[in-house]
Amino acid sequence: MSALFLPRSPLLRQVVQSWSRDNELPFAHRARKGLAYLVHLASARIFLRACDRVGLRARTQGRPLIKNQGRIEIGDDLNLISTFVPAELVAGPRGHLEIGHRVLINFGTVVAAQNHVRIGSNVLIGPYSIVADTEMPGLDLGSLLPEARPVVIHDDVWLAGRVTVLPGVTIGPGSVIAAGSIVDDDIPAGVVAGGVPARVIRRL
Amino acid sequence: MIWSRTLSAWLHQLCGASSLGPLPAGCGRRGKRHVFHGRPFVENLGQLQIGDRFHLNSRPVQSHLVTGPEGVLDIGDDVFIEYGTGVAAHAHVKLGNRVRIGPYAMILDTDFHDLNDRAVRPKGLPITIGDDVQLGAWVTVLCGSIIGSGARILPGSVVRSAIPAGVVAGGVPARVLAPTSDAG
Repeated sequence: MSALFLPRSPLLRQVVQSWSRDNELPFAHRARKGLAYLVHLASARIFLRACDRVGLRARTQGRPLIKNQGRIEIGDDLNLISTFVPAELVAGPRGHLEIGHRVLINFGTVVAAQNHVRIGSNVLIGPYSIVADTEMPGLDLGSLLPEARPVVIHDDVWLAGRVTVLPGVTIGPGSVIAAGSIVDDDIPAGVVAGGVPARVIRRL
Repeated sequence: MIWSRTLSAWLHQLCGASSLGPLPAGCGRRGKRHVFHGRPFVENLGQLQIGDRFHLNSRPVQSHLVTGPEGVLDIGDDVFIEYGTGVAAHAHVKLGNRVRIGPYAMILDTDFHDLNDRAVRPKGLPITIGDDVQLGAWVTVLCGSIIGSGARILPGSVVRSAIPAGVVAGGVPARVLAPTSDAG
C-alpha cells in the first residue's frame, strides 16, 4: 500500500503509515499489530486515568506506573511502552509534567516532575531512560525533597536508550542524544550529543 | 494487583509473542538441554538458531529475543543470559560459545530509527560476539560491534565499535582498559 495516500483522519493516517512501513512483515503479523493497536488504545484509557489531561489516541503497551500527586498533562498520540519493565510517569505534590503530541516513551523509563518537566512534540525516549527534575526521581521523600530544577526537552528530540537527563537541563529541538549518555548541561538544537557527561559530537 | 499483571501479561502474549512455549516452532536449530527460568519473550520473524545448554533467565524481569524479517540470531553452545536482557536481531547477531551476559543487557543490531528521518527503519549492521566473552550488567551493544573472543566488558558500558580479543573494556563508549582479561 502506498504511503502517498494519507487520509485526513489522524487515526487512519496512523494505520496507513504503519501498514506501509511494515510491508516486509507477514500479513498475519500486521493484522495482529492492528488488533494490538486497538487493545492498546483501550488499555490506555484505564492505565492513564490518574492523569489530569490525556489527549486523543493515547496508547499503552503493558502496564505503566503512574504516580500523580500534582499535574500530568499529555498531548495526542502518546505511545507509552511498558512491555518488559513498567514506564513511570511521576508528578510530586507541586509537580507539573507536560508531554506534547506524538511522544513515544519506551519501557523502563522514569519521567518524574517534582517542579516542572516539559517534553515537546515528536519526541522519542528510548528504554531505561531517566528524565527528572530532582536527583532522586520516583521517591516520596515528603519534606526532605532535594532541590528541583526544571527540565525542558524541545520538539523532535530523540533520546536513545539508557539516557539520563539530569535536573536543570534543556535539550534543544531536533537533537539526538546517543545511547548511555548522561546529560548534565544544556544541549543546543540540531546536534548529536553523547557520552558521560554528554558533549556535542556533531551537527545534524 | 495480580489481576492486572496477569491481564497485561496475557495481552502482551496475544499482541506479540508468536507461541506459548519458550521457543517458537520456527527455530532453525534448537539444540539440547535448555534451561529457562521464567518465560522469555521470543519473537522470531527471521531465523533463530540456538546451540546446546542455552540458559536464559527471565526472573524477575522478562528477557526478550526478537528477530526481524531479515534478521538472523545465531546463539552458540553453553550461552548464559541473565534476566532483563534484550536481543534484537534485524540484520545478524552472532553469540559465540560460552558467552555470559549479565542482567539488563541490550544487544541491538539496528538503531530502529534513521538519524535524519525517524520514520525510516534502517537495515542494521551485524553484531559478532566471540567465544568466552563476558558482558557485565547493563551493557549496551550497538549495531556494527565486534567483540573478540575472551573479552570482558565492564558493567554499564556502551559498545559501538570493535573490541579486540582477550581484553577488558568499559566506558561510554567502550574503550580497552587492560590488555589481558582476568582469569575466570
